[in-house]
Amino acid sequence: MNIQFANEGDWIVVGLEGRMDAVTAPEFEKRMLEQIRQGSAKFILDFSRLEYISSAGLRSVLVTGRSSKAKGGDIACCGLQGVVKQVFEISGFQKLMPIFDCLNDALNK
Amino acid sequence: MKTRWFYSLATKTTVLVALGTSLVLAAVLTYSYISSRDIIEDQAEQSLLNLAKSEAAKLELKLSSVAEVAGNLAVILETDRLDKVTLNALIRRNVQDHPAVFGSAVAFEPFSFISGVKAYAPYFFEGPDGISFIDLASNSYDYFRHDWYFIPRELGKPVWSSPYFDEGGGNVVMTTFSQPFFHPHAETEKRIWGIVTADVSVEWLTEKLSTIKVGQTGHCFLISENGVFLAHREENLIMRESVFSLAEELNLTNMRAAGKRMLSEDSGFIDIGEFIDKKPLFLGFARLRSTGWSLGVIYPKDELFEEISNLHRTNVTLAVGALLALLAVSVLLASSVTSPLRKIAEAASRVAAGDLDHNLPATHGRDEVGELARAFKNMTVDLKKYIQDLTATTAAKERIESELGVAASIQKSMLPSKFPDREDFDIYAVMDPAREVGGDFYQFLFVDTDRLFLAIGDVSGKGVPAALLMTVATSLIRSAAAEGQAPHSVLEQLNNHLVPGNDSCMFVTVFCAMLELKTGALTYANGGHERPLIVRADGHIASLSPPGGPVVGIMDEMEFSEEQIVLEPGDCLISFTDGVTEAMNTNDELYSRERLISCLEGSQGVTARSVTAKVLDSVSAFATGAPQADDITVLAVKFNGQQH
Repeated sequence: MNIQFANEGDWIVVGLEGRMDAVTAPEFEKRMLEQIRQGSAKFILDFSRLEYISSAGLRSVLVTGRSSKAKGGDIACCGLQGVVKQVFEISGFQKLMPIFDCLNDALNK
Repeated sequence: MKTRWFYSLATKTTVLVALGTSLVLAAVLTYSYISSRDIIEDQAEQSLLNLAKSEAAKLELKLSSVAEVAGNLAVILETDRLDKVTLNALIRRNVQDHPAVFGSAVAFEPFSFISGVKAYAPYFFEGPDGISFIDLASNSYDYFRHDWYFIPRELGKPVWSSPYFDEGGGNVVMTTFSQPFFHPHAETEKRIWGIVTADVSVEWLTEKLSTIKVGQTGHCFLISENGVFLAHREENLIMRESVFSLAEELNLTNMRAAGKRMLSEDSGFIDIGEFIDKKPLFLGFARLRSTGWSLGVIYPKDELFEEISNLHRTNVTLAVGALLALLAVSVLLASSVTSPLRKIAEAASRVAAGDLDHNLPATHGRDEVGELARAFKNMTVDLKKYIQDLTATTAAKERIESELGVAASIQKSMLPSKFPDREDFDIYAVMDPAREVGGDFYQFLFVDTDRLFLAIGDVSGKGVPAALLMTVATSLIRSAAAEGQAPHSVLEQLNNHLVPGNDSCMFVTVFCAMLELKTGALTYANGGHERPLIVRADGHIASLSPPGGPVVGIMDEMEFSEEQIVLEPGDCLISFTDGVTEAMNTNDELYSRERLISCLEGSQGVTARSVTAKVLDSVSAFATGAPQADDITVLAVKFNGQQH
């Protein structure tokens, strides 16, 4: 999985590419927690190029969301499509965190 | 593993050293032997030649002293008019005073000394009883016709006669110097008056010659101008044989050739080769100018080279000794190098056989062998530590594995494995964890005789953490369901139990349902789980609506909606976890809900067990070659309705 961080105003956009499963999720979690430790707390996770997310991946998203909130930050998701979107729908994640269609919608919030 | 001796380094080194040294020694010895021989041969040539020349010169000296005696008398005869008595006295004194002179005579021409007497030849010689006198002029000895008188008279000059046995004279082998003398005061031409002779006994002349020692067995000999032996170690040859007669007799061509050279050259050195007794000889010779005789010195080659051969033999012995010593040193040296190596090799075999505690031979050497030994020792220490670590790790791993095995069987025991044999419904389920233990689960239990509670769930992640949460979830669900709570209430209760203290954000997706066995009414609630499918009795496949609520265990005070559907007899509810839809093949493609639906097509009427097996076979065929990424669980319930 490829993870890229980009600053957009107050927000840090996390570009996710590839597959987020039990193997790659720990790396995502580690890098996100690293960012949070460095003081960043407001994240937009861009899922537009993510092919697949497993329940382990969802858990990592939850963990980072909870950590950022503990630091007074926030987390939002955007660009869900395909299998990833289905997984989010099935698990009811839209009830747990804000979901936007695209990055611009998220930034304009 | 023992090195065979002929492969060992020590043997190889020793053999190489021995070969090399032998070659060098052999070359040096051969060269020194040959060059020594040459030097000695040159020296022998010189010394033999010198000996021959000096001996010849001695003889020449003796002969010339004899000739001088005769010459002096001739001068007196030519100057003074001597009477018979004075002449006899002079002759007698010549013999008496000169030991070289055996005998001396003055022989006159006919009727020239005493008037009326035809021949007069007084002769004094050393007889057995002192000096004797005879007058050679007798009827039996007509001296005018003898060589010693006739030849010098004809030639008019002094002559040495060939050696001869003087019978009637001295009765010894002698040679005679004959000098003609002339009438004194001759006015016109010189007229021969007579001959003065001086005899030399060959025996006296050569008495010391045969005693001259040349080395051990070498000797001198003398031959006349005709090759007749005048002096020789073997006396029976003297005057009886000549070089040439002997050569003829013994058929020795090299002897004849040597004889010819002796009589034609002044001096020389001849390597005669094998001679009478098959021994090779050297010959040095020198000729006596006055008489034409030749003096030879014989020296056996063997004797000449005996010393050098002895020296050579000593050298060879020394060389062999040195070689043996060198070999001993080489063996010692090589084994001092290889014995630690052998010990290390032995130790290596023991270590290889597992005896890591085997003590290596102590090595203090700073050489390569010492380094090897130390490196080897370090290696065994490291190896020992590594094996200890590995043993500990393996033990820990085995312990964990056995614990996991126990955990897996405990986990399995928490899932119902006895499926009721009923006519009104048919249920079957399989949970196949990706690892030893998993996070998937299914449950079913009879709340009462008419109601069957069903649940299927998936804990986020897999392995031990998932399994721990799974056991908690299963227990909570069972106890809540056993109390007869409605599905949504079961989920809410589970959620409320899990949320507090869930720092690791583990969550569970759960689908649970209550089936009225009399009516087929199915009440259900979905906590973020994959929507189950229904294969209708007519083959139609439908998803349970709506999409699920949120996952369980994350947010406090969540409410789950309750839905209801009625199963007709023959309808089959198939619930599953994402291990089915998200099973991957080697191309990283997901099995997907679509494939599951097409797999279920035509499955109407079959048993729950068959449909479960069909789904699992299809998934496993799809994922052949790819490792199982997630736990796979399928729970199928077929409603048959009341059978009357």
